[in-house]
Amino acid sequence: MFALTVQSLIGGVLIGAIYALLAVGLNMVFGGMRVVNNAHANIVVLGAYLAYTLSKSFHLDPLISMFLLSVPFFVLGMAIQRFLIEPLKRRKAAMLTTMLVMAGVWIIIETLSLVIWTADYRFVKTPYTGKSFEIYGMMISTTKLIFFGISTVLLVLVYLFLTKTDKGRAIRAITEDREASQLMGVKIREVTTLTFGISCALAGIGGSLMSTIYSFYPAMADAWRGRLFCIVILGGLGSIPGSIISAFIFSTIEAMVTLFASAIWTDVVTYSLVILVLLIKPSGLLGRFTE
Amino acid sequence: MLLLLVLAILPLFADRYVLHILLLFFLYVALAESWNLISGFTGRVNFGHVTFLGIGAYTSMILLKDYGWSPFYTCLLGGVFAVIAAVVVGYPLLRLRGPYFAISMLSLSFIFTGLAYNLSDLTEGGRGISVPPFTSKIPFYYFMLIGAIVAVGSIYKISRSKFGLGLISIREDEEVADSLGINTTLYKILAFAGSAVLPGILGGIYGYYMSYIDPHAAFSFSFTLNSIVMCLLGGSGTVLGPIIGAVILRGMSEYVSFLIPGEFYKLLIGALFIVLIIYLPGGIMSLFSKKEGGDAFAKR
Repeated sequence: MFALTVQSLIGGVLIGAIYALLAVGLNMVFGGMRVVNNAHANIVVLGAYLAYTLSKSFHLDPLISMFLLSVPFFVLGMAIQRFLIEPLKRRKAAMLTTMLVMAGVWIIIETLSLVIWTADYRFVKTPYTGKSFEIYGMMISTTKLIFFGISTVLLVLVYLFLTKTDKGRAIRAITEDREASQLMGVKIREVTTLTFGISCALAGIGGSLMSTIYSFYPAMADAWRGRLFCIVILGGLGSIPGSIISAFIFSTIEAMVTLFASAIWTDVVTYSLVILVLLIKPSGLLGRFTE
Repeated sequence: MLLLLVLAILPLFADRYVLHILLLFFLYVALAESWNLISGFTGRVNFGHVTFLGIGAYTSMILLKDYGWSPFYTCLLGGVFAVIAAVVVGYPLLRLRGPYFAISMLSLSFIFTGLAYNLSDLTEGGRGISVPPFTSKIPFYYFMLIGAIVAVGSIYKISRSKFGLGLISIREDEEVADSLGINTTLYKILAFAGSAVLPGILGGIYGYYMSYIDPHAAFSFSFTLNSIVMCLLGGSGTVLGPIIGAVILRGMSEYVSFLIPGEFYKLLIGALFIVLIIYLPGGIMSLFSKKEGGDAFAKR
């Protein structure tokens, strides 16, 4: 039992890196622009579907298609910002309004994927699918280990971008104080567009990674929507380090619920956790924003 | 009045398809008006409105099937359970605002979906509950019609009352409302409980009408979404708005799914949603009146 517990803990931690990648994308858009992106999870699942199609039609490995997909998803993110979010921001609409608009995007993506790919379960099969290796009597999935590596590298890149480059610093500046950074000469329009682009590119990449770990269907986005909101709220809206920490907490809790109770209880446990966190500390572990 | 009379004698002439469409239309009017009470008037945008419908449907179907009670009582009990749920979750959750309340209600609807799946001794899990169908559509038609009339009537009464003004003041500025002596906590819980009554009762009727429910059908997000779109389209925080929204949305959905079968009409709903929120935040009613309703979501 001990080995089994440690094994699922390790599995949880490995998945945690992908959770972190997706949650950081969602949280960047919140912190930088105060947009509650309801459709983030749908964009992730869209990424998984496109990786599936690329693998079916061109025999591309998701590890390659994730680079190809990052470009159109980056453009998609910029388009959403320009055409949907900016008109609202010009009207000084509330944060909630952005949530409503993104719910529209959610419906459109979900319906499109239902029409194009039907409601059947899909899965991308790769040469390394189902492979695992053994250390000290514990089985570690190769796929999860590879993706843990990729996600970690991407997270480090995002971190370096945010801390070492001018553009990244501008994103952090508008997260801190929008008006002050505007006065300091930060071009808000340019920076927010870039932020949304990066966020969606991360979602697309994360989606193509996930397509080989989980089987997916259009409504699977619902599970991811809840999970990602959970992580972001738990870590604190607007706090990138908070999101990363809580992603790992979250994935290990999920692994433990699955091990000791049953996978079907994870939804009930995790959503109850969101409500609990919202009630006790709406600003999350490391967050500062409350409304 | 004339319209009501026409609707009342319609079942004598109309065929089953027309009755089905109208019946769903009444259900949506009642859902949208009840959403309007908590979200349009009080400003707490509820992304989990379907929770009450699902609770009502499950309560009623379980009592109907396992205990063989009369549907009259089971549906009313569904309403009672929905109100109890609203008070219990409303007391802590209504303290939250804006996206925080919206996300917590969305989570709540997912928790109930999960419970409906997992408590399979009670709910028969993913297989769903089925009961023998009732032979005629006509009683359901009248019950849904009554539900819609009650919804519109009570919203009209509330909008003309001190209670309604109190709710609007909470939407506009909760601190000020509080300081003026309005018991905001009580008002919010009353509005929330009120918004749960009809979805709870009609959920039971809907379940019996369909003679089958499963977790995804009973807690489907599309009920919530339709209520929101109808209110926003017509104008949230107004009496007539949700009815206008329901007429337009149901009409368009039926028309589009008649032209192109399948799920395409949802694309239309999604696009309409986006366009509305960006260009017409006050809904159609705001074109006629500057006074009533207005952009309920412009405030934080």
